Amino acid sequence: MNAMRLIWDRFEEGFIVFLLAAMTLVTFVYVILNNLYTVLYSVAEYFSERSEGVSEFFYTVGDFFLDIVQSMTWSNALTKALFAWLIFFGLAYGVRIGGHIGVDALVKLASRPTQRLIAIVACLFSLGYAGLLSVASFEWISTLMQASIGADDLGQFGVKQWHIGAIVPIGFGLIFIRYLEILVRIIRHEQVGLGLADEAADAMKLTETGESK
Amino acid sequence: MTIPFLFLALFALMFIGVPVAISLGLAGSVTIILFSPDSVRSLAIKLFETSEHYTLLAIPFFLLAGSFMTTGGVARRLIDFANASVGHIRGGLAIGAVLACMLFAALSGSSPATVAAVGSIAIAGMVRSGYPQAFAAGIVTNAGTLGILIPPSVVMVVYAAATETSVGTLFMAGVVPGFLLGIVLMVAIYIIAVKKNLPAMPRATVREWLGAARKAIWGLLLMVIILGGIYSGMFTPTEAAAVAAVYSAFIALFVYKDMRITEAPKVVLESAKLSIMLMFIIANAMLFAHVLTTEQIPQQITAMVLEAGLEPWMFLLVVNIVLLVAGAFMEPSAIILILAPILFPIAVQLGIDPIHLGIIMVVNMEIGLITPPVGLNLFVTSAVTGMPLADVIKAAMPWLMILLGFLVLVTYVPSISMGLPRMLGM
Repeated sequence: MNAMRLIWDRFEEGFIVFLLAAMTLVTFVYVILNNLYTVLYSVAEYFSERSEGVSEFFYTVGDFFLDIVQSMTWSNALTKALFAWLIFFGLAYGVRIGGHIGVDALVKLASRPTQRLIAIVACLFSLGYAGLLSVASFEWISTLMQASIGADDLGQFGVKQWHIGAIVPIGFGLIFIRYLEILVRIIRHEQVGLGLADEAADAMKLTETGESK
Repeated sequence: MTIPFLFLALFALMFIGVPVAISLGLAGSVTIILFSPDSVRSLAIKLFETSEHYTLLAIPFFLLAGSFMTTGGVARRLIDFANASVGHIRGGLAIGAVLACMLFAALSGSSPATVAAVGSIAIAGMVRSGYPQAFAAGIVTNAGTLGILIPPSVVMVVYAAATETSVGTLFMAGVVPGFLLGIVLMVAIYIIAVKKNLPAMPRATVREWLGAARKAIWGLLLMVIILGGIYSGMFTPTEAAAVAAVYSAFIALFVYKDMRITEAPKVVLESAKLSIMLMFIIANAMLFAHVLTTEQIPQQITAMVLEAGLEPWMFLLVVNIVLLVAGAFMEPSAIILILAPILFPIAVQLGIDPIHLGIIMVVNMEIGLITPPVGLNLFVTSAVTGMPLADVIKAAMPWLMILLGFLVLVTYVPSISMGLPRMLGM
């Protein structure tokens, strides 16, 4: 069980890194190609009076890149799909590491047992939220599955709308499981609060890795 | 009935420690279920739509660029460069810290990130040279807020998405106010430094200055790529953000070599976490704002304001007060998404430029970042210096007055923000 959990946790992190890296690179490559052909055309124009051959060459290469860019209508759609997956898949990871910011200044004024009680209530509300949206998004996706419409600009690769949206119920399902874990830990006295993020400590982490190179 | 329930639910949930994003989402969802004919299915669709917002795509890219900048040693070189430029003035290290914040703000779109990057190095440096710690901490906490005023800015991207204004124009409108605030802070520091006789550094030789500039140039070049690229029309802001992310990763890994390639996934994961958190808040704030819109709240408030015959200056005063109070309790992006749809139509009716309103909101959010109880910059400074939070709040307070004065200036002199974009014909 523990090994399984460890593997899942590693996969979760790896997949998140992959999604963000992929969407960044796809957009980057598209931008570069998109500007490259303009540059090539202006070079070609520059040579048009001096050397027919060189000019011709740059026009051909420019055309080549223009063709690629024009066929890359999918890049924007793919980036958005990856973004959706990053957000909704990453939510549960955020819960696991206590990454979602909240206000705990008031709760901390209460006594320990009261704090525990408040945490249980807060956890139940979060579970309610995750449960509600799991159900709502599942209904939505089942409708999309029946409709089976191809996704904009990605349909040509056989990607259906529900393939992209499916991450929403999956994501909320995963959050539900993570909050269930937290609830169990609070009831067993293994944890006091919801593990809300300490943004300051995160900011520190970044600079620390920078200095400890 | 609906609206009091919506806000009561929100505050009740927030104060028992439910994460901000879930509080927004749950309050919005329950209100829709109880009071509106919309199906629950529409909730899921509303949340999903956030990811399809092209403008918002810039956020993960800018955060990624910022992470690589901080980890990759760009911040350290910018501080060295700033100190070589202004260190010889009385109070030079403090003035240098403000300059470093301005430079870093021009590369990163987040304010806490600016405080973390500059503060972790500059505050210790000032204390070593004999500055009082509270003085050093107060300056960086305040100057760090420039992160969201000087472009690029995540908060401006959110405002643009909420009101469908141009990100590029907003960025340009932030340049002059950001620069001005930096200068005002520097002058204030200089006056205090002369009075308190704070130390000055020996003047850097031309050779030293050139050396520092040469090392910092790779970071400074990014500023040109982002703003130049957007202005010349080569990139959309989202594309510029993606280029910035790849560029800063390249600089960190292959030019400065301050980090190993094996460390890169950790940096990507860290900024992915920030993006996910922020996007979760944004998605739920949009859901919350959606409830307000379906209840026709913006229209009702607009009608009320127009009926009351408020002059533009009175309206702006009210806007500032509301935003300052909200800023003390809420996360900036959520405030913008909830309040911009309400304020925007009124401003248009009263003849206030939406871009000007955007800059006013951003400056308010800056102040919100340094006012307790929810002031992220305060937490970050407390963490990088090890000072107790209460001490940081006290240290930041005197400088807050400067920011408030600056807010009045930006609010009532529109040409400060609108001048540059008008000149550029945007």
